[in-house]
Amino acid sequence: MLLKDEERKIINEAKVDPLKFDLIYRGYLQEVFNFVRMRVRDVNTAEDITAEVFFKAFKHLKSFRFEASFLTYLLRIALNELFSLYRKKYKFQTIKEVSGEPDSDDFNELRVAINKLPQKEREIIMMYFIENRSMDEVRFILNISKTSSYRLLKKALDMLKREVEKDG
Amino acid sequence: MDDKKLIEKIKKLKQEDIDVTPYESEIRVRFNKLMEKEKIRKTNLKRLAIVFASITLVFMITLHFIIGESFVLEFKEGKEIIPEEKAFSLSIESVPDVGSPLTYDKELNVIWFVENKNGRSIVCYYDLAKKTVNALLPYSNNPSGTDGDIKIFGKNVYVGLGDCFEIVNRFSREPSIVELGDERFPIRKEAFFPIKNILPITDDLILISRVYSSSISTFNSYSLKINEWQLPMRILSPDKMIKGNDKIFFASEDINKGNSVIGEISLSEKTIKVYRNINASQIAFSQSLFAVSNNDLYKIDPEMRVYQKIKLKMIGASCLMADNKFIYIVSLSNGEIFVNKYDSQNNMVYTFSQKLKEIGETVILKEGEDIVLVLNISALY
Repeated sequence: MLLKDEERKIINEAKVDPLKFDLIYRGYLQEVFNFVRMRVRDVNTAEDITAEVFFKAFKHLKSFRFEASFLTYLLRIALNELFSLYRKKYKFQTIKEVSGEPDSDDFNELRVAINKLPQKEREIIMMYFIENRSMDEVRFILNISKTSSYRLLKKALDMLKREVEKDG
Repeated sequence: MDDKKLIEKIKKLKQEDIDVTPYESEIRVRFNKLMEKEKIRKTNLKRLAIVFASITLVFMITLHFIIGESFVLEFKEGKEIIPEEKAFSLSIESVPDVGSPLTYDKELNVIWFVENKNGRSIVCYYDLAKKTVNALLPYSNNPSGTDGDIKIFGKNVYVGLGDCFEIVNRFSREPSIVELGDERFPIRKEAFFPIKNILPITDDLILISRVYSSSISTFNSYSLKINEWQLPMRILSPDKMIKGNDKIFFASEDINKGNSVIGEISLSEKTIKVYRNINASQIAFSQSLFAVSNNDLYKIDPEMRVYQKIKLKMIGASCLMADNKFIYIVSLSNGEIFVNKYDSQNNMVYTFSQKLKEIGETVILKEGEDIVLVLNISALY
């Protein structure tokens, strides 16, 4: 992870000297891969999307205007790639039970209910509550306004509640 | 379940972090492949741009060559001609009941003209000896009400009346009418494409120009066949076509720029050559080509590609006419008629002016007993 000032300096240099992009690539590879891998079923697709994300970021680097952190910008590209993959009927990765998580039927029901939500509603729940991203980051990645982000979060919670109660 | 409880429950769900190290080299290979593809795409685009630029350059050079050499003739300005000036006298007679367009038939001593009435036109002649007007039936429909043109050549009078072309035998007075079809090269959609100008080349070949058209029609009076050919370089169908020294000259308008252009017509190649550097609205031929531009008279030598200004005093909108010997410039200002008669062989200009009093629309200018010019005064406004 790069520091804010360091990131700005490297990006400005990479805009002039493409070789400097390697620093950005190495700095954010883990986060981007992790973000993608959590949402796709196979490693092969995750590798493809991760490579594509960095390639698109490099191609459009000159148009990056520091409206958000570069990682958030990379995640927005990643999410767009994922959404276009979902549109091609690709099935997303379901939220799996992992070690350290409370083991009960209630949590299993909740996982199933989240997985049943539409794309954007599922993403806002995942990014905001599970991945602990700030609302500013979430709305930039989803490319929606502040008002829309809270409205979407409320809608997602309502839908999830109905889903849990239905299953319960 | 309330929102707070649900949120707390969601927050307890965790996602496992996946280490990228085992996949790093594979991602790098794929990223490099994408970069390589982009590099090839950019190189191909550059090559394509170079090829396209080269083709465009060659095309531009060729086009310039074609236009420069084939359709446009460069002219240089020669030394100003200062003619010797002399006054001469003319008598002016008014001719009643003669319409426009008109032409004077010296051999028969008649004025051939067109009478336009209520969207119909008829060819008439005024007998100067008997002072009578005779109309030659039938009428032709001319809903556009345009003047058209009238020319004498050989045994015939050729008349353009709206979309109709009429040939009258000067001696038997027998008319034959041909209705021209739709214009093949219109500059815009119109119901009528009236005849603007006529130039008989031989007994059987007549050039016709039409309003709202960018073509010239060739009419064969024996076979009654009409052929149209489009003028290059967005030139409007000529306002005037004249013959001189085995050449055909024209005055027209550039459709795009709206300025006047003159040049020569090649019938064999069915093309035109525009004279660059000369913007003239009127042309006439008498031993040489003459043109009026911005109230100045110019002598043009198409062979040497030189034009020379002739120092003359010209007033207002003028009418340029010619016979075998002289060039006439007739102007009208404040009820006074001005005539300049230029003799190019002897470089002499004869001047005449007279106040007009209660004069009709059509006048005859006589030098002694000889009729020099017959003209419609409205052409001078």
